[in-house]
Amino acid sequence: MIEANNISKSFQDIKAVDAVSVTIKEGSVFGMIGTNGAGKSTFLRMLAGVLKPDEGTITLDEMPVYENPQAKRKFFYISDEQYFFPNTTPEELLRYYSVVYPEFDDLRMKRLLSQFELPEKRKVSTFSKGMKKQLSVICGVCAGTKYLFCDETFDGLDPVMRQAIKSIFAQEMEERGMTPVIASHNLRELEDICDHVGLLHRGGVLLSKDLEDMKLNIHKIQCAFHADSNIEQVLQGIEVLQKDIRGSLYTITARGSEEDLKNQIQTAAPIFMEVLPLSLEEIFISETVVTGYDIKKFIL
Amino acid sequence: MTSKNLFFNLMKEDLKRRLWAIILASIVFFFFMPVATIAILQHYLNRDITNIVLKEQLTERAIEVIGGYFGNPVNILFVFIAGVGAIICGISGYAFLHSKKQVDFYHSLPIKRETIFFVHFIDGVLIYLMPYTAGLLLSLLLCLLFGMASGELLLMALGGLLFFLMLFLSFYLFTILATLLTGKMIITLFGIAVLFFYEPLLRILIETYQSAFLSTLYEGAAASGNISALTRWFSPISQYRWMLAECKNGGNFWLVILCFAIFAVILLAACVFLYKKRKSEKAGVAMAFAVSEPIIRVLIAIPVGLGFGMIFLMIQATSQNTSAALWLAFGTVVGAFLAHGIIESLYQFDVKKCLSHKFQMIGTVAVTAAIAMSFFFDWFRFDSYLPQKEEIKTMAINCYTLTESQDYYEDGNYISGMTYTIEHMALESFDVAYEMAKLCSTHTAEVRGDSDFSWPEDSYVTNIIVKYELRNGKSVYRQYTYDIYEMMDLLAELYRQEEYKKQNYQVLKFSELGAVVTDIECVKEMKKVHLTLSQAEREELIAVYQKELMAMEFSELVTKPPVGYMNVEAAMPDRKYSDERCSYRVYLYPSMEKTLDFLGKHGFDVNKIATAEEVEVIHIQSKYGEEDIEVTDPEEIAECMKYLVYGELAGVMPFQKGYSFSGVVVFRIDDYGNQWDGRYYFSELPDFIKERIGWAKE
Repeated sequence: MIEANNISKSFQDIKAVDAVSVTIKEGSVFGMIGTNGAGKSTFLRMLAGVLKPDEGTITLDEMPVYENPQAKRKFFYISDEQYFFPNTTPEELLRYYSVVYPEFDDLRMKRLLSQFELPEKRKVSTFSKGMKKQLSVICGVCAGTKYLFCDETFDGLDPVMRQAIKSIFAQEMEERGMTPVIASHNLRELEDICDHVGLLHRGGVLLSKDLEDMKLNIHKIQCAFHADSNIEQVLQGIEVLQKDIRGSLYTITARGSEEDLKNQIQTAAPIFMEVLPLSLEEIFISETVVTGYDIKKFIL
Repeated sequence: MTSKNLFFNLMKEDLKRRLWAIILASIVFFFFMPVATIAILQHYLNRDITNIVLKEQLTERAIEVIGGYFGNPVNILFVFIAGVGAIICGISGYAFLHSKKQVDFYHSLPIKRETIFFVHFIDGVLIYLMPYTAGLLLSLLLCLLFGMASGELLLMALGGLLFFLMLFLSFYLFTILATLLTGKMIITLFGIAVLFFYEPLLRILIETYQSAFLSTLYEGAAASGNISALTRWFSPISQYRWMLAECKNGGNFWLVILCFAIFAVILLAACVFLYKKRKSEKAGVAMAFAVSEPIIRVLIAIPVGLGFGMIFLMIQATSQNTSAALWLAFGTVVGAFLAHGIIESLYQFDVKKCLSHKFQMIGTVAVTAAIAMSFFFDWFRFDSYLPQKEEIKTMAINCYTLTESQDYYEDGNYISGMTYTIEHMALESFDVAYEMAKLCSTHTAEVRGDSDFSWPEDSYVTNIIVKYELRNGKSVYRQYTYDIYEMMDLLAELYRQEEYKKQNYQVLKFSELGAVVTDIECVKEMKKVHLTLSQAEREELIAVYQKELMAMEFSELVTKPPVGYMNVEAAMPDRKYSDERCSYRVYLYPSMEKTLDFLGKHGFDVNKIATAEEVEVIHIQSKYGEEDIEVTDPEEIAECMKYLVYGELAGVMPFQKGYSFSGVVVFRIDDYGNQWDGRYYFSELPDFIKERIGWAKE
């Protein structure tokens, strides 16, 4: 488990991370969403022990991270701009990481390189951006670490590649309980992989919840009423987050259990009623609109 | 994997990354070691010599040359390679700190920062040392193959290896320090230049200001050595100069190594500390430690300002008047302002930010101008310094013309007579010395700033050095320029003091120093007589001479030239080699009757001057060449010989304004077919010469 407790980080007079407290449980995928400049990379760099927090503590499996090789052996950090040695090849990287990470699986790396059609002996400097990201992920997965920190790793990957990597993650999580921590500014990318999502904005955590919990507690119901139905009275009995009316058709996003919401709407004798699936984006918008934060402006 | 394995594996991986540096170093050392050795050897091998002795001498010479090439600390080529190599190794090992990508990479790995530091550090040393050692071994092998090797050569080569490795480490550590303190490559390069050259340039600047404005500054070794003993450790260039001086002056090589080792450990520890403290987010930022910014800015702006001021002062060519003060002030203000602004612009990489710290800038400019003015106007009263008598424990005083012009032996080295005198003299009764110092100090204060002052024509101006040993333990030195004719009475009193004479003439301290006289040669004019004396006789002669020298009056010293001198050779107890001897020239005066009598009895008659019969002709010239008279008449020659003083002895009399007339005395051909001549000076011009040149009789 990774625990970040009230951590802050400033760069001169800019507060990049402001009193953030987050708990990342093992075995789940933690997604960190936020716009550019929200503090995602700074947060991840602190988790990775690159930056020292100005305040607060970060522990990984109850060990402090900063300047602690024992803790650092438990994660692999993929930066948003991953560094490769000049003139290095995947084969040489394999040798280097084998030295640094005791659990490094070089056979697996060779298999994955082959699977992703990345030539072992070709210079990394000739790879495309997407290929370099793939290589970073392969190195990270083969390092055999418990945690994998990914900073905007999926950016620049085509949808097919994205899926391929997600499937590798899923496999690693299943086989050895790897815990990815993924930072991105693209909600849609995280949607089908994350179990827990944190929203960072201007250095602070606006929202941090399990996706399932969020989905269980918010529902979108589409219904149509008779003209003489007492709809407003019915709607007063539920916590409406968003309401969209087109003629007789109501699309209501409300907080509460599905059963309670259906029962409440039933009292207005709707012509029809249907529960629609909510996207992560819609959940976020709903969750954040109550804080006055217009996430639509920032989230793709 | 154990931590030791990890360390060596990381080193291996790092060396792979820096293969280009190893190849570069190998190429450089290949050409400047084995190839250079072949070039040197070829010069000595391509000779058709069958004579065994000559061949041996040639081999010895070849070994000496090759040994000098590898072992001489003055080999500028190797110094250059060490410096440039260190910069390349330092930057290539630590430039990763300037890149966010690389910092993220390295600092996220499960490796402690100290490990990363030492992996790169040791690899940098190996990149230099491995090719150097390989090149050296190959060169020595070549020497062996061609029969030009010896144990001595091996020792010289190993000594050179050690010396240049120390030099490399010095440059290397300072380069690493510059890289750690900065976050952009261009700033790092500036930082390297600052660290390398700041201290020597600052010292030159201070010396320039001191010599320009402090007329009483004494630049003797003991006076100024203490500060530079500390500051030299702040620059690899100053360290190199010190190491070189120690090696050349026969200093203790192992002491140099020890001092250097201590310095290297301290600087290495400082670098490790800085690396651990350095924030990763400083990659790409000009200065990695914000606290260092104002310090470095001020430390650079002030000397630059002072330098500018000095340049403007030199351009307008005077240093004493109001105009000079204004130009000095102008230069310092402009220089400090520009330097402060430029450095600020570099820190922020934005020219518009040059005036970011206005108050600091104003303060820096003000301090710089104040420093310059304090020198110009001598605010600290350096030149007019005169301690209270109660503050003084002992004094030393001497003037250049009175001090023997030879070097004295001490602790295995030769130092100037003046330095020796000043460092050893301790006058407990210093009333006379104090009066002399007071005259000098008062005069200096009066004429300071007076650009129209000049000494009268009939004065004899010389330098007078004064040392005050104060009761608080401090030693203060001053050097004055004064007309010695105004203190002849005081000098005469000073000359009577035993302590003064003892320190002024090292021959008077032979017993105290444990010197053993081994040989004495007497010289008068062009005649030399080597005395054949037993040890007891030599000791007796010296004892007699010492007594008569001690009793000699100042009046004789300044009015009568010596009648001859003795070249005395002595073995000092602290000599380096058993057959090493120190030479002293001790002058013989007419009042030294017992000494002259002793010499007379042992074959040297100092009173025997050249007779007129021995002289063929005297060519008389005046000082400025207006007169040129030839004297051949024996009576006239005899008359001239009464007043002629042999040139070598004429110059010994202190405070003489020079001789108006001299004569080249040409002797008749002797029994051996030799003809001698020598330059003599007239202490007084004979009447017939005066008549001949039309001088009015008084």
